[in-house]
Amino acid sequence: MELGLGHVYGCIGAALAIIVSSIGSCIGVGKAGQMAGGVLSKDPSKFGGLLVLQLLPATQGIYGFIIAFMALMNMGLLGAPVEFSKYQGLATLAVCLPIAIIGFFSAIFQGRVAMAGMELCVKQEGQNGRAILMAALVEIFAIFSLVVSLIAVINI
Amino acid sequence: MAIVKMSKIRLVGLKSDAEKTLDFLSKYKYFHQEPVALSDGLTYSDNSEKTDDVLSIKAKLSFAIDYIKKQNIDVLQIKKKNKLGAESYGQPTKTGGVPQEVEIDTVYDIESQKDEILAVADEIEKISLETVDIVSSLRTVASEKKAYGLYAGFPLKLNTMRDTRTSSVIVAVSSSQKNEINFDDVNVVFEEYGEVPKVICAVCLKEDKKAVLERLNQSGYVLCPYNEDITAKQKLVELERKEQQLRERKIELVNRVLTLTEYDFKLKLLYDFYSLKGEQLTVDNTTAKSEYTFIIDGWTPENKADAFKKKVLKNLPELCIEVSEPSEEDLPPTFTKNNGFVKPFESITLMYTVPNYREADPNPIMAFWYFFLFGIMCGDFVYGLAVVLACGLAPKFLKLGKGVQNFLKMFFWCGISSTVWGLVFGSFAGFSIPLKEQLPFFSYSDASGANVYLGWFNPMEKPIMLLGLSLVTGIAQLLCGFIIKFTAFAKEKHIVDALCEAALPGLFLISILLIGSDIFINIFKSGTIDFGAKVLPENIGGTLKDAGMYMLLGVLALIFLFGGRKAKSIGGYFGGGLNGLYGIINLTADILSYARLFGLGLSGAAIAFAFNTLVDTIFMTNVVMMIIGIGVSVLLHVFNLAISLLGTYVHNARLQLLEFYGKFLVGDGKMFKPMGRATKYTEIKD
Repeated sequence: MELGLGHVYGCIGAALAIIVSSIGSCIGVGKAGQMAGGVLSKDPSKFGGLLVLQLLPATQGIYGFIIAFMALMNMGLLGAPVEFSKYQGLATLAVCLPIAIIGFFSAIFQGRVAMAGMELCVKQEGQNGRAILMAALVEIFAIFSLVVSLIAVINI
Repeated sequence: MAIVKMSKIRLVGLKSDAEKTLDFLSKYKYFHQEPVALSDGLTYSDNSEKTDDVLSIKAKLSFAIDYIKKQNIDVLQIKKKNKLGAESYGQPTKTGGVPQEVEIDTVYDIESQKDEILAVADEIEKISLETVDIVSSLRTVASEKKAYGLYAGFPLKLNTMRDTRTSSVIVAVSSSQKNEINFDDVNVVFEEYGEVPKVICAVCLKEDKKAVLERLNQSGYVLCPYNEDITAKQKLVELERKEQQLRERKIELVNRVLTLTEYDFKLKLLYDFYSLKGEQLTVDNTTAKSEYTFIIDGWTPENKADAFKKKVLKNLPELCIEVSEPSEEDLPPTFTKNNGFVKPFESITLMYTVPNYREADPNPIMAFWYFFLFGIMCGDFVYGLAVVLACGLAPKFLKLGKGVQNFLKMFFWCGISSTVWGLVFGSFAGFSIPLKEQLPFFSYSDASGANVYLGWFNPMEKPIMLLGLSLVTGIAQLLCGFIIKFTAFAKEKHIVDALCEAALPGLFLISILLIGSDIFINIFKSGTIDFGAKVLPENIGGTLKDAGMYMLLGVLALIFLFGGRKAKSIGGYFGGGLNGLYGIINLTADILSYARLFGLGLSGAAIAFAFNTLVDTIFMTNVVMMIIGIGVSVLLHVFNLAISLLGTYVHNARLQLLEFYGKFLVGDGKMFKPMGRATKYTEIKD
């Protein structure tokens, strides 16, 4: 089976899903990491809690990876390529966009909330749980987009 | 395996016995002090001056300990690199490392030697100050040597070149390569010494001095500032001698510090003694005092309360002691007692919060789930075995602190999980082992019998199965969280809350499981072992799906109806109902969050597969290349294992803290911090 235009569109979608959401995760985790470094220079005992806070924006990258993987699998690109029309490819490209775009922004904003949470942890003892919860709330939108992308990718 | 029950302790005694009492409590090791609420006639002490004294002694001791350590490391480096003069130094000792375990009495006994030890600390302080002076002097000597060195070629004494009544004598130097000078139109007699640096000695009439200086300046010459009764060479010899003396003194001081290294442990013990004294002062700051008496409140484990009382009456008979049960207003400290499997996982909970004294210890169930999920995310037989061996053997061969040991123990158990899941996935460092003969345990769903491998399913070949497994595991863990929440409510006889806040979300999860059963059964049927076909009858999925749909509608309606049950207005009631439904959306998001099991599991497997393909393509050509390839392969897999472990550790923690604990954990407890543990350099034996 030769690759067609459908595969090309689908691959662009898969690439966008992983690239854009991962860039968001990089920014979010990076910013939170910078803040965590500053906090730890003052109080290294807070490492455990801050590690979880720093990690939270990494999730969007994983979601992007899942969608990209599913898209590639759907096109048979992990083994023997399957018939994939131009419209199927375009549809795959379209449904990869929710996780790409929302993942990107939610990771960045989650990183910011995580940074604020780190400040909270510095100023108030025992606030790790609340700080983690606040940052996690941002992720729900990334999960919504994951659901949409996932259901659609599987059914194309 | 639980949160240990606490007994409330109140000690009352004469102020004159306060210090003795604090010493006793510190040595007892199971007394957590609580600030006493002040009432009429009671005040807190002001120990700021004593605290400052303790801090200053601790600073002196800490400096001495660090200085000894640094000097030993420096000498060790000098000897290791065999630097010039390495033989002049004494034998260094390795200080620092893991805190040594000691009995608390050992720490207190050191007080009898405090004068001797503090004298050592003083001496080290003086040595450090003298060393700083020597280093500064050596720098000055070095710069002087450099400066006088420029005139080394000038044979006369530096003060012999004096002006006469009519003539001037000028000595100058240039370090430049281009130091040619033109005195053609100036009346001057001059002599040059050396090439680079070149010293020039010029004699001219006083009225020509300005012109000579100008020429010298233009050619980059600098006037000699020295005016001493010796030649530059003699001065250099003098500086050499001074430098030698300084170096010898410095080595002498370093060797003295090496000799004082024998006091290292005593310095550390004394530091920890003052740390305990500092802790006592902090406790004393919140101990209530009247004119003649003091009151100390605190907690001790219930099973130790009787022994504690007896000990107090025996050692401090003049004290009054009251032991009571905690009241409803009290929040006793949380002290968990768990077995060897659960204990290492407690650090995960502490990343989030300290469990509340009044709730069930969440660690045992969390430890199980952490263990279970770890293998799904990092499921490889070889990787797991490597982790088990590394974490199991490291404490036997290395001297490690308690924290690191706990961490390794946790990874030891997680390694077992990875090993087991590695077998389930049939993954052996990214390779799959093909089954040549049909074993009795396996019943292949693949009728053709082609490409059948050991294990239930290979995530790389059947990723959807891994996704299904991840989501089902997520639903199971969340359901477990709601069961714990239901039990907690039921214990407090809050039956309506138990039904609305735990049972309904739990039923929602079950309905999701039923709705998806069709898909899940089909997914699980495609594995090597056909669980779906063995356990469930044919076409059961459709029936379950219908039942699930009805259940879901019923649950959503009930959640909406009871969500606002505590509201006092109609608006509040509907708002509460909608809020309940929003909670259900969050719960759906929580289920999907478990997709990270799939993401991490697959990425680890994919990277391992990619490494194997890479090594196979590049290196498997001849015997030599094969040997190199095996080495490269090991390095690549170690890298993949490290990355997988890190990702799994943190993402697994996140699932426990956020998705699982978010369902039932109250938290906001306070740690049981008994007196007598605030040491830095030693660890007090239990």
